[in-house]
Amino acid sequence: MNNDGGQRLRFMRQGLSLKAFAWILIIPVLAFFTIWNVVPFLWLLGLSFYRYYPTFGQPPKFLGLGNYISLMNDPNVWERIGTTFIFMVSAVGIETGLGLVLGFVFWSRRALWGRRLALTLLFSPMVLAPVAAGTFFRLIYDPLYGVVPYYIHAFFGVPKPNLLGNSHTAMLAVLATDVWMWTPFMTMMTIAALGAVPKAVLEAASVDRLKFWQRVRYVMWPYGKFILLLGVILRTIDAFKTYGLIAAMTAGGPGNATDVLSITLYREGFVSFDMGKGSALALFTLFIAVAFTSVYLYFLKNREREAIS
Amino acid sequence: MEGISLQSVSKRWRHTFGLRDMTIDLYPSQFVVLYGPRGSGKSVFCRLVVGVDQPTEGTIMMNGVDVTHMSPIQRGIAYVPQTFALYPQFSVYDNIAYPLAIQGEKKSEIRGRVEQIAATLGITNILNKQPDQLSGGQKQRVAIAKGLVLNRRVYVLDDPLVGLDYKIRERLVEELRNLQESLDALFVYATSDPLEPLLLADHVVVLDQGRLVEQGSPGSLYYTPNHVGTTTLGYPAANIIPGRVNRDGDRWHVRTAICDIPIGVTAEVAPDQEVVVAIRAEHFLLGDDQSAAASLFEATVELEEDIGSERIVHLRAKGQALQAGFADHKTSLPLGQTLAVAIKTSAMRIFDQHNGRCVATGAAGIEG
Repeated sequence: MNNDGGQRLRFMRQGLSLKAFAWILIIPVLAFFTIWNVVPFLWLLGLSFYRYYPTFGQPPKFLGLGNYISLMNDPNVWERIGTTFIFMVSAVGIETGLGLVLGFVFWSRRALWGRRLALTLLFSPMVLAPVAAGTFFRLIYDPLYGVVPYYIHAFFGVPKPNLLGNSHTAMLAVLATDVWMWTPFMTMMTIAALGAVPKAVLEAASVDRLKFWQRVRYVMWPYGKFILLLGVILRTIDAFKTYGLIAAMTAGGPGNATDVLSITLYREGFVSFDMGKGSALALFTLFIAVAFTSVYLYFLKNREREAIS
Repeated sequence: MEGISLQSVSKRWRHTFGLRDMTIDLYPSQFVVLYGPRGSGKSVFCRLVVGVDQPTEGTIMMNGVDVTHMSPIQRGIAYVPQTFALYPQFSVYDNIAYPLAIQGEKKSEIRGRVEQIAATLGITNILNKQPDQLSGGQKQRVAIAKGLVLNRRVYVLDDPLVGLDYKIRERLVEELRNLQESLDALFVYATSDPLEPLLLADHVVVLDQGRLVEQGSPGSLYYTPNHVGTTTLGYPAANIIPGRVNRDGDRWHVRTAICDIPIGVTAEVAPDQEVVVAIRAEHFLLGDDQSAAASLFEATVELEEDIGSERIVHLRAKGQALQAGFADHKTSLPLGQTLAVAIKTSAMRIFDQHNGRCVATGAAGIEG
């Protein structure tokens, strides 16, 4: 592409500095980013200082930090955060654990019978819309004609349980669905992470007689950690804002057993139409999510530095 | 049998062969060099012996035990792979020491051995660095150290010196030879360098396209190669000139573009057979040298290379480029000069153009 340099020179000859030329290239992206990200964010920030119910037909009323103060003093909000964390940590933990095991099996047993078919089937849940998967599992858990309650009844001799209608089991049932849906993702990330380990080093490890855990610690982890942790970050962020799956299965119920932040957020904003409080909660959620990813990024960066020095 | 023995070993991936029907015995305490061009199966050979790969067919025996399906751990062979593999989180010292530590050696013993091998390879000053701070050549030497530090009966080195700087190479060749002698172990050393087999080997195994084409002592392979692939040994490589067998009564010749070369008759040559003639640089003589009047031709001097101990003259005769070394001629030859050149025909080898086998040798010619 010899032309590029020529084009750039022509711009400059017409009185445009290189800097101005760079700006011309960047402006469309900046404009897009501003319209879709910055403006809504500022709008949200502004709204969070007002009392505003669009359905009441009254002008917004400035509250200052009122919405935040009432959020902080609301014990329900803290409970929702707790629920969200329980959901997030358990889901990501179980999915990572299972994903590691499955990924390792698929990676190390190239000649495994039916490997390809199994991989294809395994990855199919991931492509479903969460609402569809949620609806699907609500039927599976249905106390009257669902498959799971039927077998619980058949094996344990207890009456068919209403898993989603019981505040003790609803979270477990939702978690199981999330695990079913997202373990394949962690399996895929594990396979990718192991694929990043140079074959020569693995072979050297076998000639050097490294034990399994030594290979994991000194060969697989140093090369695979970036991809694996990237998977964990993506999964954590996604689990933190899970909405569709829970909305379709329990809508936060029964009571508030599965009421995670995103469900609360939706209810505040689009059921109660309390835009101010909803915005404040949204910002708060965003803050938590950013804090999370920062921890991971810090960890990754630190590791990187450790490997170099 | 002591040592390693491959019996009809093949390695195949779908339609490509890595190794074809390899049968060979490697004896203990020998320095065996596998020689061949890229893709000739040297690495595959090494990997199968070490056990990081399994053959498709055949059996591998070690000291009389069938090890074909044994893991590298069970075989216990020291290995320097072609792509050097270091543990990224370990310092250079730990990289070399770790395999020893796994064997359960004492700390003081480990330190001594690591320092000794580091000194041999000239990497003492980088022992505290991390692998990603090293240059390619340093990494390579660390990988060699890591393989050689182990006390084993068999060492497999897959082209360990490739790309290293000439001086280090020269020193390491010597060190490897000494090390092999002091360890009294079997060394299997793969290389595509034409000089290393001559410098290192007790026994050279020549591979080509996954096949064993020839084996023997470096001297016998250099002077009496039985396969055209072997003539690349040494520097400069033998000149390969295509020709055709011609019969004139009971006199047999190979007719080439530059001259006719008399050959001894064997059962393997027939008139009109397409052959190649291998002429080593030292088999050319200046025409005024009275000892050989046979196969005279004229050639033009194109370039002269002075490599200290000897002089290599690049000639062109009827379009054919030749590399000659006129051992007795000490003064330099003017470029562009046309010379009368003779060939010491009795030392030449004739190979079939299609299967590369030696079919005849040059005859003494008219001078006899």
